[in-house]
Amino acid sequence: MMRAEHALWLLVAVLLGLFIIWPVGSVFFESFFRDGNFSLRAYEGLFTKNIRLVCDSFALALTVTLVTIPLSVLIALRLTYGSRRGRPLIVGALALSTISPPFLCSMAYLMLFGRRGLITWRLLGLEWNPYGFHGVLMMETAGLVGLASLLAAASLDHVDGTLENVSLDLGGSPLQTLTKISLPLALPGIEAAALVSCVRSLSDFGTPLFVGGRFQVLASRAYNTLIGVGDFPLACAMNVLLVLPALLVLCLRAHGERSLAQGLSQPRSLKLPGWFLSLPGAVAWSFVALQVLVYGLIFLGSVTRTWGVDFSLTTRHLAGILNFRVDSLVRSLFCSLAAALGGCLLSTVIVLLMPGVPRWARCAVHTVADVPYLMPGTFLGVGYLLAFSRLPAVSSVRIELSAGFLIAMSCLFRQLSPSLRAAEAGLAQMDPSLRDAVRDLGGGALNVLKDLLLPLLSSFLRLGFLNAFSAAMTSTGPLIFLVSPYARVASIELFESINEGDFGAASAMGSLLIVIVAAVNDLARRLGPRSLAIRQTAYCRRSK
Amino acid sequence: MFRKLVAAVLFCACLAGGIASFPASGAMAAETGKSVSIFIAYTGIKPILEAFTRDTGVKVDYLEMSSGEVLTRIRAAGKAQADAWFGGGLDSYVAAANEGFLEPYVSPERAPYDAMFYNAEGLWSGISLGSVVLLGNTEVLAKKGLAMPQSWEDLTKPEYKDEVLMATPSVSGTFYAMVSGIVQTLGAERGWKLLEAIDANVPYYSKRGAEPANKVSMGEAAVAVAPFDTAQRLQQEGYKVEMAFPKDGVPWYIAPVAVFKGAQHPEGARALVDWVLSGKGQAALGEYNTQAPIRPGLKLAPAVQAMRDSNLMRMDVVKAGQDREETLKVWQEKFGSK
Repeated sequence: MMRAEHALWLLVAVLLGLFIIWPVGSVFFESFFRDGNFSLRAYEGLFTKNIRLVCDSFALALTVTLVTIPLSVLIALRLTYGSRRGRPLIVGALALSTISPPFLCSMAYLMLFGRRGLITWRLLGLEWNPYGFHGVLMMETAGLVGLASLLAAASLDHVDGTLENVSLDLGGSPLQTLTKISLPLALPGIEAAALVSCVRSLSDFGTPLFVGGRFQVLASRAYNTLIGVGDFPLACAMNVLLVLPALLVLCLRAHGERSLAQGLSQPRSLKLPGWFLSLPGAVAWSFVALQVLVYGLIFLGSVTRTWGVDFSLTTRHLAGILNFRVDSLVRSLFCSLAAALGGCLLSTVIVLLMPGVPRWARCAVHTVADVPYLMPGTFLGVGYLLAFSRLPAVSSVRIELSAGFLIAMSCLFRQLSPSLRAAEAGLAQMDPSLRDAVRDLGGGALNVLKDLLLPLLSSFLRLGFLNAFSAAMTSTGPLIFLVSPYARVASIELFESINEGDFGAASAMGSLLIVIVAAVNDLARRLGPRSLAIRQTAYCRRSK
Repeated sequence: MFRKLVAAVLFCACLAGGIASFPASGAMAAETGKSVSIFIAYTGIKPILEAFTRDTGVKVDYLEMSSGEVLTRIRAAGKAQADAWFGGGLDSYVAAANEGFLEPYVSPERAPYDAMFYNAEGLWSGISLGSVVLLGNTEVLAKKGLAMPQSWEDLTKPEYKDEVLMATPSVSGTFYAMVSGIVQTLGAERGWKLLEAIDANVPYYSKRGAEPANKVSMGEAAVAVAPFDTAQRLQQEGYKVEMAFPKDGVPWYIAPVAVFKGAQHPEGARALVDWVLSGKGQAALGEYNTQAPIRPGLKLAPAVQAMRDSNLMRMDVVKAGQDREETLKVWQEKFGSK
């Protein structure tokens, strides 16, 4: 290893230690103290009393994943192999659905498909009850399909077209080629999508609180134990039940090398039969329709006086925010940009450093990065509060600056795990010999990074950026405990409006958030490295 | 290339604009002498605080947050990141006072108040009185052919099966007041029996306090148990909802105000307590919030007067705060899994 690598590892270790291990450790530490004395009371019968919740949590996460992944793969197939027409619309709907303002989408779903929903009740006259396991399952799936499809599509897009051609030339049918060549080759991205879905469902407490009814999971019960009952040690101990088994599952999954080395994508000649494509098409377009309804309702809600009562148009909700809440929006934007850019940088550094270290070290980095993502956000917020509010150095800085810094850091490290996985999925699809090829053609280390790795990783990094940025813009769990009267953020304002039942103000804030995230995302796309194909031809031309 | 350049310039402009406007927010207020930062759980708070700033010249930064969240926060941080606490559940104030997070302040303005509405040492003072009422969705009731329930007893009727929404009392001061009020006035045995009978009609307990009323206004169920001020607001906004004071007793609670220990702007916090207990402040509460201001001799709006005149339960709110842990334990055993 070079000295530079040592220095970078040291930096990574310090950052992970400071912003993950310390706060998370503080939360677990709290579970051993009751009224200032060491006590194991929180752990007495913890497992036996909560076994049902543990089972329910994991059953839900598993079911959500099992439903999300097939749907996402179908949508990804439509994107990769379907007709070009309509593709931007589908991608747009998918990207839009990843920006889901907290609770607002849940509320929109209820207004459309609830017990007295616009569609289920008024239009179809259905009497059905969304409250329970099935409601949580549907809402979480609807929220996760967007990101999962984008990940799966990015992976499919990077499958080497020549391999498909070989299969076709050897007499394989299009379907055989798809199931035996293309899909297996796209597995890293699909697997990443599955893990992200599973983990998000595990740590989500908002949806079960909102539509769970009697059905509750560990994350939502821990939230209630903390906020409602106020039993600090017990609430912290419940996190152990959630995090440990989840970590175990993630660790069992081999972090080993993949032998899925692939080349650069080639023009695709695989044509799937039309009858086969109709299913992915139907799934994709139903998803688009659903998103149009939900986001249409949100946008309409923001310019309607009182939805359901007085449908006259008004600008008062939007004006209210622009007059009084601009500072919250700006702070959100800054913290989220810092978090997303920092997350991309950090995960690229980690991914590039990874091959040079032994397996256990890689596993350790992964484990540490996964923990904040697995924990319900509320507890990460409590951890940051426990760890940093007692630091004199932090307290003496101007309160709104230190609060902003902590908000950005909590968002960055909470989303580190998906950013890391996205970057890895990108790297896993790169043929190591390409690196040698660049060197042989006279490129230095910088060329490897600039002309090969970054362009290759860019589409995955952009996904990581999009995910981290919109997660940070819409995060509430950890931020509830980090905002202060001097440092408010947009997502918390939205959360307050929802609590007051003010759909107009909530959807106005939600619409602004969506517009900002979409705009930043578009900018990121324009600013990012050019598409792979262009760069590839440029490179070939230069080396000739 | 040109498009990239334009995008980059735009991006930089956004960043620069953001940086320029960033420190302007809040920071200034924190540094001038007369200001106060507040954690708040109170409806209609914006015009109330504007009136406060007009009357006293003290600038306000505030954050709305349920009292359970405030309590968790100050426990985790070991201190409050605000100067004052306004509204929310009295039980959280009692717990915070016991754990030493509140600063005693005996306001000169509290003299005319009944001693049952404040803490003798000045750790907290009650500012207004809220009550718990029944809220029905007129459309849904009509569609289902149900009458608007008029009492707790009515809620036990089988025709309201799965149409009654309530929140878990551990997350909601309103529902805790209801449980505590019923148990206090009927006695433990009859009280829990009535709650069990109502429970049979409750499909599930909401995990956030504001949810039952919001969901009933959306038509997700026919009847909610709701705070009086929320019911009033939903009616004023034009939702097709109706309200009833339970004939067999209206549970009530008080919203307190307190100064945090270690406040950065203690004068501002004290000014807030003085103002909100004064005739002027109480009038502002009465105007913008539909809880009933407590100061004697104040003229109340007709709807609020009706609430004061309704059949308020004979209950001890301070005792309710003290008994919280025990009452919730019983509740948890009986209905906790719902």
